Amino acid sequence: MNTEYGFYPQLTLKENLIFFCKVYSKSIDEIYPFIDKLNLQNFFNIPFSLLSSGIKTRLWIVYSLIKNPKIILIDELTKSVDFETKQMIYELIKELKTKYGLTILFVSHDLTEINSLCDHLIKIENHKFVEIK
Amino acid sequence: MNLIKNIIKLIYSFLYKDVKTLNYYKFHSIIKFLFSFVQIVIFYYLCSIVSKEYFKFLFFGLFFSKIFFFTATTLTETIKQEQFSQTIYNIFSLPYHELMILTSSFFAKTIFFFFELIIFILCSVLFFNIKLSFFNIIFLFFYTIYIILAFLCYTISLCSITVLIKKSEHFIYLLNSLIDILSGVYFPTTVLPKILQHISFCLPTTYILLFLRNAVLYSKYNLTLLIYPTIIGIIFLPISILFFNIILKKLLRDGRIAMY
Repeated sequence: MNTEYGFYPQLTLKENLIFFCKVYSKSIDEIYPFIDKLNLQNFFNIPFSLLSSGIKTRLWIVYSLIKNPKIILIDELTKSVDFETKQMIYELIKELKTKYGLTILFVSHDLTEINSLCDHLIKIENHKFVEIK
Repeated sequence: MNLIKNIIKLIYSFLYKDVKTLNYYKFHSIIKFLFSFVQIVIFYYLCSIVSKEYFKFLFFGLFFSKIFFFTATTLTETIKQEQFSQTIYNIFSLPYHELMILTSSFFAKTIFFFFELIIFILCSVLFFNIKLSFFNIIFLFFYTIYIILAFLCYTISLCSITVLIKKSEHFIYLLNSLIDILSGVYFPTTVLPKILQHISFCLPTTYILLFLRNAVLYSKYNLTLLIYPTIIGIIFLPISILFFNIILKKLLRDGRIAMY
């Protein structure tokens, strides 16, 4: 999904999270460690439409964790975020992998981030797997 | 049991979202109420040219029309808003059936609508000399629920049309206005030309409105009038759900569901 959309634009970041927490019968406190990790609490009262792309990306990561997933699919998530946000996302991805045992399918064109984050690598060229490590 | 629990959970979630959204549109809510009020004022003075009895007749027509219009358009409005805010894919990716999500949102809006109706009734009693007993008010409450349930098939069908043909507001307004005229909201159906009277007799809305006027104005509760609309509602509900599912699957496959 495009990270620029998907949440109610007039509602604040916190209100959007509470709404989806209610849908999944969760309390916002349960996801607070991730909110804290991605430093989102400072943007709690800002409407979604006014958030920057980086914050929206971080919100999407937290949102995906509300669902208690076993696998997370990430498609070029860091392409429009600043260096600081990138580092925060990398840290969280590593923690999700090691601490929470989640499987993450990470799609990217950036070989540096792939090498630093991934345990396994599949290179796709012309719709074919050309390299598997 | 699990289904009901999930529906209640979804209604509660949408209620939260709607309360928060309403907070950003306070001015809109006030204007909406004023619009309703001004509409009754116009009809009140227009009716005074004819007779006071005509205003009572018209008032309950407008009351019915208000509920019918809400029922007919709310689901369509909901899907339209989700399309505008580009939240539709996210909402439809929730672990519930799409129609369950939409109808839960619809029922959450119904709770707000009840408050709107209470204000509407209060104003009519206070300013427009409409006499309603406590029993009448309880009756109107259940009558409103009946209309919403009986026309659920209609609102689901309109929702399907909305996602299929896009920009369908004018079509829906035209359809609802025609139904208002033919069902006798503004004047008795007997004044219509013979051919239109035949169409009027085929509409379930005509019987439901007749039942309301008989009940509130003359204390005649002729339940047989509700047999035909109830049968129509029951028969068309599964058909409308099937129609919606087919259209939704097609649009999700084509990727056109988010397009308004």
